[in-house]
Amino acid sequence: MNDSDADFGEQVGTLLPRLRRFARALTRHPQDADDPVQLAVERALTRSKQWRPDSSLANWMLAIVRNAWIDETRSRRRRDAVLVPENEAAEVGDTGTDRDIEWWSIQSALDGLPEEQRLAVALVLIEGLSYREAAQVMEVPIGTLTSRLARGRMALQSMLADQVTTRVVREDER
Amino acid sequence: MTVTDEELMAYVDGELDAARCESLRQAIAASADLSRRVAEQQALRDRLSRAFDPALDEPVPFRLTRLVSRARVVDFASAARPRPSRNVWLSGLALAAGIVLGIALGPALLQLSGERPDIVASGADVAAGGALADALSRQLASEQSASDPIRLGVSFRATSGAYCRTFISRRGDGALAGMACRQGAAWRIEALQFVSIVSGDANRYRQAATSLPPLILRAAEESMAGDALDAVGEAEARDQNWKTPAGTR
Repeated sequence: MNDSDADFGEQVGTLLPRLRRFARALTRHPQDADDPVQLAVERALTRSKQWRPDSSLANWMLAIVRNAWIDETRSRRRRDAVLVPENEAAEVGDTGTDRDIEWWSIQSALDGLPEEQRLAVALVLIEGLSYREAAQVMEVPIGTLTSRLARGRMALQSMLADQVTTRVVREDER
Repeated sequence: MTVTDEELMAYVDGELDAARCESLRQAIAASADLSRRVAEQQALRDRLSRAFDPALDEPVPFRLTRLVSRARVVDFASAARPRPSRNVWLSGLALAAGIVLGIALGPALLQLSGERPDIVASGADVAAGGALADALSRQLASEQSASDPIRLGVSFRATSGAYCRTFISRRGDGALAGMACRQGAAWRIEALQFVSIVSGDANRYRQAATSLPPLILRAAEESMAGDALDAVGEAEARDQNWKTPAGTR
């Protein structure tokens, strides 16, 4: 039994709620969000020696979740292309509460963003990282991060605005 | 006063320095248009927080908590004991502080074993060879997985017009991180950093074995013209064999 390993595990444990929030912003279905988190925690524990104690463990973990999510998305895409025709319409129920509808609006707007923009939005706007930290997690220069963030934001604004319009129109038709 | 969207976003994100922040605050107070745009940005932030913050208060499922319980950690840790490094290629480079920029590499440091070395001296230049050259020419960052021995990072057009790409090539317990730019049919190495993750003193570079070191990022940032390529741009450049598009130099 090694105390420093146990301490490391404990520290990772306290980050789990944050890592789950981050993964939820990335994955389309909330029930899939824990998969990249689980993969990331497993990887982090086997690579705990790679973490520099003078750096942020949270940001290190976010980077590992990001990589796990990217890996998962790729293999899922390959699987889905062969096996499952997507049926998106089934997701949108007529009986959703306002909160469900809001959640669905945001989730599908995020899902409409290219991967890099979704990551930038999730890290800065949801996780509250600084531009520099987010650029490090994404392994890109800071200028690349800010331009992805700006494009992601503008796309989100316009998608969310469109959704509001659509909903209003539907209510008028009733 | 003209304020770009990017600047307003940086304001909302708290990324402006104090002086710029103050002058923007005054401008916003004086302009209905600016305050509307700031409010829109703030509203988006708030809306995202409202949607995702409840995840923080949910109980964490057992499948995750069990991973970090004490007993489990020991299992993982013993499985992850670092293996002694037998692969000592480039160890001279690693000893030389681990950092080499540009073509300051002497050919003597590049006596590499193997039939197709990853780094080759060609005339006055240092170029990618072997599996590294293949990966630079063919591999897409958008299609690789964490287990690939060579991983590509950002791809972009340099101010010279040439395509450049950052990479990490894992070697035993170390990694070679760098930036290469297309020159004719070759990939010229513009920046290179060897990252050891075994020797005691290299502790501070450990993390870099899986992420791009700041030095390489800075080299990329300094030579970049415009934005990094997205997945589509990367695939297009690859399909054009990384030739600089005519008339854009």
